[in-house]
Amino acid sequence: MNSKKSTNSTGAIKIIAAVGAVAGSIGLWSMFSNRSIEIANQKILEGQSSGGVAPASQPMVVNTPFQPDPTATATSVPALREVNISFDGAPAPAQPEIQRIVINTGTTASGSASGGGSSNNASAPAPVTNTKTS
Amino acid sequence: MIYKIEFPALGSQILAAVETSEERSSVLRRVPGWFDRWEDSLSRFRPGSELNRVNAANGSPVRVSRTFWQVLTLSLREADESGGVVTPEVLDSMEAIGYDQTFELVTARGGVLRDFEVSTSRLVMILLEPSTRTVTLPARLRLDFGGFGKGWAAQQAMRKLSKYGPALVDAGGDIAVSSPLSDGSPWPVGVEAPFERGVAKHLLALSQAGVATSGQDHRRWIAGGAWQHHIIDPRTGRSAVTDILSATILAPNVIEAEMAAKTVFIQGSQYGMRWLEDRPHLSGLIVLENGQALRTSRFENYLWSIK
Repeated sequence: MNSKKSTNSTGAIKIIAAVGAVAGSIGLWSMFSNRSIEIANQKILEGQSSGGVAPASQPMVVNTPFQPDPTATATSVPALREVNISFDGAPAPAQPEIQRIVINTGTTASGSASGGGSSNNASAPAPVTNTKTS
Repeated sequence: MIYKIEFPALGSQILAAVETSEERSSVLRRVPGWFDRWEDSLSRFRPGSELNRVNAANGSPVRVSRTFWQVLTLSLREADESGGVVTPEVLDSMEAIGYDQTFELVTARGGVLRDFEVSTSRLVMILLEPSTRTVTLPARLRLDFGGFGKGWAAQQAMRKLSKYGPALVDAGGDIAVSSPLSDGSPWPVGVEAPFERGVAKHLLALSQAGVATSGQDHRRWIAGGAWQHHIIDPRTGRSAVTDILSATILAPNVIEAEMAAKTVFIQGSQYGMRWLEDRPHLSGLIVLENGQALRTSRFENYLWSIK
């Protein structure tokens, strides 16, 4: 009976020792690994500050958390703004603006087949434009 | 509601108006771009223009745009109808009287009169290949569309705008009207007095017509000790010598009006009045150098009211 207890205790000790050995190995490896990284980083910094060749950068792959859906439609489109650019200090030409005009024709005029119209109202409207020598 | 936009182009002030809804009035913002494209094709003052390319080809064939093709073929037709008086074959003459830069530069600097030898017209020697829109000018022949290009542009812009409602386009005095306003009223257009920019002496009622004015009260400068103006008489190669100060012509469209105004101006009042009366689709108002005003019999049909 006693010898069985003794055997069990020895087994337990062996298991604890094995677990401890593994944990110790991982700790030592981690310590040396971190140390190696620190040394490597230090070497890079020393190389840069002394004008040495910096290590070539490696391409980095980043997984974007959002992939655009090609079938999706935008619900709101940002408005485009016009920007006037001028060179040599010259003012940019002003963009012409649409204006509203009112023609007070008074009475309805009668058109003619030849393209003209006539009206005999006493107060003539302001002309939309004038003829001029071109 | 009527909307308008005004901007400079083709060496002139352009006005485009259309009766339409507020939403559709935004079409007016496209008009300056149309004129800019046409100027790229038709202006001799833009170094890379199609016109300059064709003029520099010196006997070689050049493929041209639809715009250039239309303007060239129409200008050749108008040259024929005017008996050769109105012709695109005047660039050498124009430069010889000093109009070799934009008008603003010519007036600022003053013109220089150069010798010029008048030769017979070579327009019939121009080769046109419609299937490929290819133009071949005879060697050393150079063209200038001048006011004709402006009239064509006014007509073209008016036609484009008329899809949105009744439209009027004024390209520096070449005025194209598509149709009466939606209530049936004509468009009121003032007739400016010579030498009085902005002062209307008469009011026209235009429903569907073209108007153009040719004169020597504007675009004039001194060269060789004498006043020059930009309307060339191809028979002399010099500024036309005429008793007319200005001729305002109404026609079914502005292209015909432009050609008729130049023909009458160059030929003088006596010939001009007869020529107009013989053509029922034309009417006009001629102001003579002595201030006298002559109207054709049908001109009254277009007057709104006379004050």
